Amino acid sequence: MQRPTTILKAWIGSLLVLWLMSCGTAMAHTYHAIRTTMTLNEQTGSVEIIHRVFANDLAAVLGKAKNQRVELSDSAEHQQWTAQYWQRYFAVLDHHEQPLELSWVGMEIDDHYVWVYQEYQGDVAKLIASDIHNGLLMGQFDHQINTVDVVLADHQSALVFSEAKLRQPIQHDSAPTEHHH
Amino acid sequence: MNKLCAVLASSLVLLLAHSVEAKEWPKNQPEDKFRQLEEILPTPNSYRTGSGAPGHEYWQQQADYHIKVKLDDDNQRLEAHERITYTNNSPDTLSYLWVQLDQNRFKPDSDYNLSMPGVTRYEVKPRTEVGDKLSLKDFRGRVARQAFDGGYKITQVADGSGTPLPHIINKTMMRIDLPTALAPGAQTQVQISWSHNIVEAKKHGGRGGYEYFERDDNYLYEIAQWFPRMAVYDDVNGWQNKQFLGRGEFALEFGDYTVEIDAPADHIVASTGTLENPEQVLSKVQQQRLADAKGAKTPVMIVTEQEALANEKSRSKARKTWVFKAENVRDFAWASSRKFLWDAMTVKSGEQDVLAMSYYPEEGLPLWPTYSTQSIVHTIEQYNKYSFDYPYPVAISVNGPVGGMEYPMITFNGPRPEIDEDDRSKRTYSRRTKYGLISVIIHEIGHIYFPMIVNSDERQWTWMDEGLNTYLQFLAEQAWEENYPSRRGEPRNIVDYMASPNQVPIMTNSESILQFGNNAYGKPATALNILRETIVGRELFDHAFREYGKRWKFKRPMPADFFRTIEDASAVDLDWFWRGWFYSTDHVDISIDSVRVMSPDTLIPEVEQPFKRAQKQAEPESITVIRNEGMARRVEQFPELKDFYNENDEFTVTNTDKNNYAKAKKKFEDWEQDLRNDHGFAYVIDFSNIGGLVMPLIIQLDYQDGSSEIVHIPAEIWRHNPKKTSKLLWRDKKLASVTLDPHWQTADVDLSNNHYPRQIIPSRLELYKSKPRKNLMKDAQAELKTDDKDSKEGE
Ligand SMILES: [Zn+2]
Repeated sequence: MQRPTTILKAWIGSLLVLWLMSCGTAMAHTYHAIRTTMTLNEQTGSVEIIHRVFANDLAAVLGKAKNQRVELSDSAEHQQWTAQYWQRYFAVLDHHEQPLELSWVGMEIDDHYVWVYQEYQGDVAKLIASDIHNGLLMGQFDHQINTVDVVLADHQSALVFSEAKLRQPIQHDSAPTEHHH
Repeated sequence: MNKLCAVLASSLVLLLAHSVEAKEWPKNQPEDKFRQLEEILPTPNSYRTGSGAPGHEYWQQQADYHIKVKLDDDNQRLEAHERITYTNNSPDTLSYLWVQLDQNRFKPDSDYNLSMPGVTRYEVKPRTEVGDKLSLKDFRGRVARQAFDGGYKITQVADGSGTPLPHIINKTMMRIDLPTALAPGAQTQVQISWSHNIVEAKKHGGRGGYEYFERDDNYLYEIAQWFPRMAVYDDVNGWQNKQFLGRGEFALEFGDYTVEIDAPADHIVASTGTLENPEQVLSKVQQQRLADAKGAKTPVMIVTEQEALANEKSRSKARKTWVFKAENVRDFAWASSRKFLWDAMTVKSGEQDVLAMSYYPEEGLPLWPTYSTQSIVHTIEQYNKYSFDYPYPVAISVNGPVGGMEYPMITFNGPRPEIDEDDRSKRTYSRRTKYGLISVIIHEIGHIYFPMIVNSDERQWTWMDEGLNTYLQFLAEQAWEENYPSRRGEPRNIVDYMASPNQVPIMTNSESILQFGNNAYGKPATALNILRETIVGRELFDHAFREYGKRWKFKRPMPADFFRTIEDASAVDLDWFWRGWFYSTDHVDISIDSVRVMSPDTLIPEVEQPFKRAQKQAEPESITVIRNEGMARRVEQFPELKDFYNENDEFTVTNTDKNNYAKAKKKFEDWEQDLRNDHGFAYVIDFSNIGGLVMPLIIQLDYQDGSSEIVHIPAEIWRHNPKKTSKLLWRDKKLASVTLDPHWQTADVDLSNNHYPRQIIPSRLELYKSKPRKNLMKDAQAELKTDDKDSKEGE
């Protein structure tokens, strides 16, 4: 049986470099959150999916994958990595467990956030009847909370995802559609 | 908009008397957004007055500490003894005392550890063919965390003379039963001896802990929540003994501290308080440099890079005891390492000289010597302006594993540059890291004012320290440089959150807050900024905010004390604002529904009738009229059928019209006559409130002649109907367009309905799509390192 400190030390070598990157998003209270909105754009007719992620958080996860410290950019390489990451951890699944096609639009980085853009151009009713799986950044930090706000024509819902709740229907059968004013 | 409608004399008078309001009154009276808050706020008493100031019988407990602590660098462990002198200033007799045991959060069987979810797979479709390496790592991290032998080992709980006291530990709280109850005004002493393993900070997510540096095999300690601390007993809650779950921070009493820190002789110790024995722990050279820093206008190195690097290699078996004293503080924290560089300079705070100091390992170069101490000084200069003079002798920023945390006189701040491991002299940092460092130091030093001095109860009300501090942080950041990239403060940065349905009101207990950053930091900070810029005005608001600080420094305010003080000191009734922004989750979305143009009826027939004729002629011809053109008509066939009315249209001025006007004119008052002769326009702008929050209307009027103006209408326009309102504006120029909230100062979440005529606002995603594309091929070939344009080469 190893002493606890020895176990810790064993991990220090591999993880230290990664921990350093994840600071700065929070002061005193560490919170890790992705805010997603899914909105029907009446002008273009497509459903716009916009994810707002703390840049430091995403950089930390990319750094873990690459096993080096990474300063996130919107380079082709990082776009590609992010697109693949999203495909692995975020999906809208119909009742046959088939993912709806969400097209990758791109990503943008500002002083604080990464903005990830996706689009859905299919049937909105089908979308409303589907489930969202949101495992983005789950397990990487304590208390990851992802929210998804859905505003599609007459439908509106607000979903909260956590490690304990990765998947939810967009429309809860029990609760009637709520009109927010 | 060009449709003009004439207004009758009677309604003109009405229009001038009031602004137009919706005519229909709904049967269900709308919620009164302006109802006074008295029914929600606690009744004032002799401890807390109705003005928001401390009452004439205000009291708070006092807890003084004498602590001796030994840092075990071989086992990352503390052994300590404390003597607490507790003074009961309350009017109540206390038969027991509650003591906070924050380290018990790290016990393997703590609520915190037990509530960790066991899920390790988060992918949409787990790939069964290969194990998920990341998740496995996480899993082993969790195992290590739960295997950690954390929490206090308490070996003695005794009275002042050493007689054991009965006590019981309930998770992070310990009750000590007093053999004789403590009467009002009486004092008692408690002695506690304990030891605990120090957590590895990044792993356990604590607000303190150690960091291990593999390269040089050294530790850096940031020590906080390390000693059993008296729980708060106050007039509002009695004992504040809510368990420490990790989110809600601390409620603490003020007191005087003497702390003796026994550390390895080659360590440098940074601490709350003033160093009492520099001659025993610092070299002659260091003492001289420290003396030089007193009065220095730029940072002076007290431990240089070369000295710190040499220190890293040292392994002294000797020990030194650093003695620190601190007066009137609510907590005590310190840091220790043989890796520290140390710099210091002086900042004037009122009549007092404050020593601003930074401690950092060489991993912080070159960012830290450039920005840390300067950021401390900047914070003190700015916060002094908006609150009160920094009252303590030192202000410290330490770089270590903690991302950002505040204690009296000392703060822990995380950001560091990137180091090329193949060539450690190659260092870069991104724009995000640089401003992240300055911002976190401003924020944490700012916390020394709120809540370390204005001692609000963090465990209960996060916004009272985080919100107020984030508001001042924004002001200080904007004073650092133009266009400073502040994350919070500007109304436009909170609209996403405000529109989101996933919310609880700001007035929510810490542990129940859903989106911490927005709820407790961003929304209150923005609300205060809106009060300052848009509702109360800078001069009145700044005075009121300073008054709050002046009244409550070194005391414990409650939310009502803040709300009341701001109103008391500004003479602005803000109950509607507190109600909307702090007690509800409504957002701002005000729409311009229509703009109607009215011109006054002069009643002069010679003016009005030709005008009406012109109006009629301006109407398009009907399709029937067009198609009937050239049709044979009876009156053409039989001209004898034509008379006076065929020669004159309905708009011809008759004598009867003239007589009626002469009669009406006699009743006009002079002002009315003037107005009727004025060739102006009455614009009626109709608004609806979609979001629910009532806010002032800031209206930009652009005229056809190219001129424009901005009109401010106070929020009280919504008083009678919070859902719909209209405003009449009398102008002599023709309007081209109207914009609501042109400077985005009210956090209106939907800009598309803020314009008349309507404008189509592209979505964020549409904007992104329309951006010129970068050469992605070129980017892909670029070395994966950092944004060249954003980074700066270090030394
Ligand atoms: Zn804070």
